[in-house]
Amino acid sequence: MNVLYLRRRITNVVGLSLSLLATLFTLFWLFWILWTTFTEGIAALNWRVVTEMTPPPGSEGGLLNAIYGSFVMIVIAVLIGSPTGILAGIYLAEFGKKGALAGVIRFINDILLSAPSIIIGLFVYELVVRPQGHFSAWAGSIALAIIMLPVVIRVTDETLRLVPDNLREAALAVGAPKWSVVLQVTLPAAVSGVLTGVLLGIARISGETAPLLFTALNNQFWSTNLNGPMANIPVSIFQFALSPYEQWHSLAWAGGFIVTFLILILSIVSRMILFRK
Amino acid sequence: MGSENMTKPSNPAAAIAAGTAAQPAGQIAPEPIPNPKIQVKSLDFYYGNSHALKDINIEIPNKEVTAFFGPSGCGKSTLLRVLNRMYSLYHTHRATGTVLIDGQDILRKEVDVTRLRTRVGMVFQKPTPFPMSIYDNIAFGIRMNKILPKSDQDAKVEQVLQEAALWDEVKDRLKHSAANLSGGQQQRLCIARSLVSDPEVLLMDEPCSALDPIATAKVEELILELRRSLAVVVVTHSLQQASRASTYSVFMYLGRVMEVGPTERLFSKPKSKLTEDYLTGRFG
Repeated sequence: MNVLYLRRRITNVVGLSLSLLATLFTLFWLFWILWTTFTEGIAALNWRVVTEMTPPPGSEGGLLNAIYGSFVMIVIAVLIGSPTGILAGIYLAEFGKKGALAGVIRFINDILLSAPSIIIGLFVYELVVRPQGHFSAWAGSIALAIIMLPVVIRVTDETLRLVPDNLREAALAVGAPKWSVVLQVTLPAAVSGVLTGVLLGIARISGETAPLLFTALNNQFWSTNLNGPMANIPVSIFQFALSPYEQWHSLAWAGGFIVTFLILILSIVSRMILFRK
Repeated sequence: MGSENMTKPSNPAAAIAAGTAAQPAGQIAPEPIPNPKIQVKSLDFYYGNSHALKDINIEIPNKEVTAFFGPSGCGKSTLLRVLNRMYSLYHTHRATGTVLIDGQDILRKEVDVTRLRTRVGMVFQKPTPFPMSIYDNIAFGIRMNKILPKSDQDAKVEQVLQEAALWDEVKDRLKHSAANLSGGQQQRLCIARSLVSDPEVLLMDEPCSALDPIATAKVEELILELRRSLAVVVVTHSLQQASRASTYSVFMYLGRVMEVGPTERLFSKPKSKLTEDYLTGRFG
């Protein structure tokens, strides 16, 4: 009896230690990456980063045009991606339900969700850049919107399906038509989840590099022209990090810090919204 | 007792369960009632391939409380959900037969279910407050029926909350979220909400099963009060509740209606052996 008890305790200790080690192993790399980004990034931060344009090779400068470009393209991507995604999610959860069409859409959406972003960049390159004849901020925004779309669809669909059918039936039972049940009862009940989906979508696209490389490219100068190439943080990081210049390296660190910090804040905010209730 | 009505006095429950009874044993043909509000004729109901209701024939009186009772899975909630076509929400659910409300067949395709549901209200097992304020929960129902001037809408909100015996408890916090009310208050809010369209029939699916005894007593009192103005149909798994809070009773078993009658008569002198066995706790 005592032997059995001892063996169980030993198994327990061994199992617990193994899972703890695995966790520490994973966190080690994560914290290393974060730590390097933060120390190098903070060291590279100064006023010039947010007041000056990206510099020519070998000289000093900032990231103002890249920050502006990223901001504009993300906003346009959200304006395209989130209404479309929310409406598609509503279709799946409220109208398609368990039907064959909804099943197919969910399957394809999941594929899109895990599609390599470089493929989407190439797709938009063929779709917009080639016919237009030049790189443009529009093309960049469209590529980002396509990457964001499946995230919003998935989260909207899932949070709406968590709303109990009881609530839908109760709204129908007072004589509400279907559209009003969705708009006034189920969507408000799921609003925190839908918002989280949009925030996660923004977090996802704000660090994407490959799709922008094929669409918005980059721009060394200040530009607000959506029909022309536009500077953005991820591609700037890519170019600066590969360059031989010390000043450019430090700007790449600053850019990396800004993007990482933004995503961290978005994740924390979306988690807070989701778990508030 | 009542054995003259039975075709297979030995073990009716087993015969029905085995599906061997052509003319189900222990089933008592209901007596016609004068001026029924709802008439159900040869109703069958299917969840996909499962046959949940079998040849239901009953009449439900106006201005009475009719209780459906029986063991779990006997089809009482299913029957209730046919009466306002709630089942139409799900593709795999199917009903055949006729259900007349005031002589009009509600199972026909061309029936406007949204309008039907304003005439036949429903209260659910779990309280279902909408994610909005107490006031808006009621106002939502009002707006689904007609647009009223603000003052009339306020008056209507007060009126139904009074009818549901909730007004005094919530009048000072109408703008607060309905989610903060207690379970019993939420359920009375849902009852109030179902009254805004002045329905002719109110369906209640085990309205007290999530409530404590005091809240239950309040809701039962309310149910008996409501019968003055409309036909109330209550599904319950509690025999005590059926006997306390109803005036007319329907005993169901394995998808069939076994016996129908005034509650007092049915509980004191059941005609079917099966009803008697259930009432005395011999099965179920």
